[in-house]
Amino acid sequence: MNSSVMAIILALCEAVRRGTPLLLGTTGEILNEKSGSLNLGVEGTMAVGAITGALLGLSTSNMFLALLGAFVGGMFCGLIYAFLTITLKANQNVTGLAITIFGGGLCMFVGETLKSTGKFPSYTTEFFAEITGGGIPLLKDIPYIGQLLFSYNALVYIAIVIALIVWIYITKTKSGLRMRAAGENPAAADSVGINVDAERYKNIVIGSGIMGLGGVYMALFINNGLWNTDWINGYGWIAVALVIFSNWSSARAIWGSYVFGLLLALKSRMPSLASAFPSVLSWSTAIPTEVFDALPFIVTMLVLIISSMRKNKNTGCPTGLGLNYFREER
Amino acid sequence: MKKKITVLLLVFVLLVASLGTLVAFTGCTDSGSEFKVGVLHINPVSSTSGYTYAHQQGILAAKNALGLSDSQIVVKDSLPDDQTDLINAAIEELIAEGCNMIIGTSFGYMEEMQAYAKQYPEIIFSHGTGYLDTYGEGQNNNMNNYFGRIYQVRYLSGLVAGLTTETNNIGYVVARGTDTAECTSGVNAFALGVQAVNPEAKVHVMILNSWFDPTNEKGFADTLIEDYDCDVITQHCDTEGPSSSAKEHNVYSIGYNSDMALAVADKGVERDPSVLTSVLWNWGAYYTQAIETAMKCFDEQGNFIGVDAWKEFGNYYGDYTDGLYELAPLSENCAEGTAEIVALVEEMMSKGTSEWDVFTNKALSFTKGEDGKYTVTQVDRQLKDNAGNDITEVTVANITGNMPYWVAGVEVHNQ
Repeated sequence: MNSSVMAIILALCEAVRRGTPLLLGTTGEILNEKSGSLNLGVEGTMAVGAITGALLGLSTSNMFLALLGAFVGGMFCGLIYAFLTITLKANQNVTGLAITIFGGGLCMFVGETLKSTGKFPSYTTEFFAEITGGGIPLLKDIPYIGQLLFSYNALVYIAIVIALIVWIYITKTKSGLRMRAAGENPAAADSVGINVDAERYKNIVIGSGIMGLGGVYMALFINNGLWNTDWINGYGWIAVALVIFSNWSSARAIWGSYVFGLLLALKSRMPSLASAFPSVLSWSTAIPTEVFDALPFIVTMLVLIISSMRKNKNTGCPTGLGLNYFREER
Repeated sequence: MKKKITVLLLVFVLLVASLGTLVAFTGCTDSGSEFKVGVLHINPVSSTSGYTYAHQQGILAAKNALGLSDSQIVVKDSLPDDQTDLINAAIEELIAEGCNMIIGTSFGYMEEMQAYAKQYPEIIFSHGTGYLDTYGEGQNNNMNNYFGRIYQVRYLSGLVAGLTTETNNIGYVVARGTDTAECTSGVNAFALGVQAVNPEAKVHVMILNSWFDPTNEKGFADTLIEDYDCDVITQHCDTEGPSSSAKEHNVYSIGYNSDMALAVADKGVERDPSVLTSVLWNWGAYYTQAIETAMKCFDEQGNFIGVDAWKEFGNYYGDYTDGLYELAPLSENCAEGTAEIVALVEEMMSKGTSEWDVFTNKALSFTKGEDGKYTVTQVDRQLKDNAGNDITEVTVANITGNMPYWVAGVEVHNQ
């Protein structure tokens, strides 16, 4: 019995660990989309945040500097995206894809160059213990509950707080109302004196910074700070779909991310779940692992199909999403 | 005006292109006298650990041993297995640059190399880890396959794991399952090594079904440690993930392809003590022999004189006696007596596979004498798979192509 409960708890923990970068990516993307920009550059923005954050964090052994570096790296990508789509009125989709390619390439270039010259920084013993340890003292020692709720590193809790703050900002505050107006109907917002361009700039840049945090999570926690050419591994794309799954609400994105985190964790955790519950799950041992690789993306497609078939018009999707705002063409 | 400029540009482009081919052509005839080796790699040649690194180090070792100059080695890298057009283009470039011998280090180049070997009978081809060649009647005999019995060192690393484990659960993250003998032979040899010193211990296997999946390479090790109580993790995959996971959980690991004790070491630490040892290739041993033999197919002016020497050399499955592979230095965390027992088996292996080999019905048994020294004896046993069926003894013929089972004591947790 105990080991069965433990198998479930370990799988859920893994879901939270893998869901956290998704949550950060999704929260950042919600800020982008709510203000009217469909930013498809999440994957690339996360990659840049990953490399800047990881390098700064590993070379200084300072968690705060790692997060700061990642945030600034993400903001840098957001600034490029905002300048191209708002100031230069470039197509949002194409610009987003360009950011994805650029970010992935930049991360690869810097990482490979440092690795091949032997200059890629490694952990100090203390910093490795700090990264891999984590958890809230005392509370994490409570049997089962402690492991499930209090055993994670700080960024897991920071991600939840960020998601809640963003949710309050968007739904409860005046400035959130202004940014929603810029996303829903920029012309109307402009006519009541809201600076649409400034609203969009602000939210894109901050949102991209949050995506950068998701990137550094992938680098330091999922990959233990060891360089490989696939740090982000498609998580950025899942985040784009998670925005729709969570209906543009970062509060709903919290559990949405953990659901997708669980899907991503199944490849490694399904075998132990199956041996813990042989009567219910023994069928799963016959499934090739490739199916688990594909699962998150299959569910992503299903989410997109179902959400596009929904008759209910009352979604959180901003009306002006994906449309550039030309003041002169009002 | 615009038209004129376009025409001028076109003419310029054509001129440059034709000059280019002219240069390539003259380059080809000029360097005819110099023996050139072309090499195809799957990953960037700049990598500092892993598969391509190991092979490139081997090439460089051969270059030094044979006193070749930089210009005699032509390298084409970053050629993924499935990119047929890139592989073909790279082979054609090597031929155009006048290479007399072409070495392909990755499995996926097999068919392309065979096709070119038939088309160019005066170039020597050598392909790693595959099984196709051009030997036989009516063939050109100018291509061979090479690989080594790395399972011998896997057995040695199994001894290390079996002696060191306390929970008697050992985890193995493997890229592919029973369809790939390279993987199953490694797992099986490792498990037999474990059982030789610790019959109680189980080897828990999780299959990635991918040669590159960094997130899960670490994630699988996490599961093996957390869910299956493994305290030694070994791997047959690409990244340092499994070793890093073991270090994170304060358990031990055994690396493959490159020395993981260096790869996961903290800043200022030379070798990470959580890595018990690593299974390492020393490809230089083969490349030196192979290039030396291929050179015998050409006279001093660089003219092709026939494939006889190469044909005689044939396919290559080197063993411990060739120095083709080795165990990295043992960590201080290895159990007492590990070094002695490993040394005993290394000594047996250095006498050749006729003395004793891993997949035979002879198991090794170790006893500690009163003087504290270990002795090894061979005892009869019947090899069994993990479903309880008898296995026939394994020979060179089926070690490289086909081993669709796991030996007893191996527990596989996914498909």
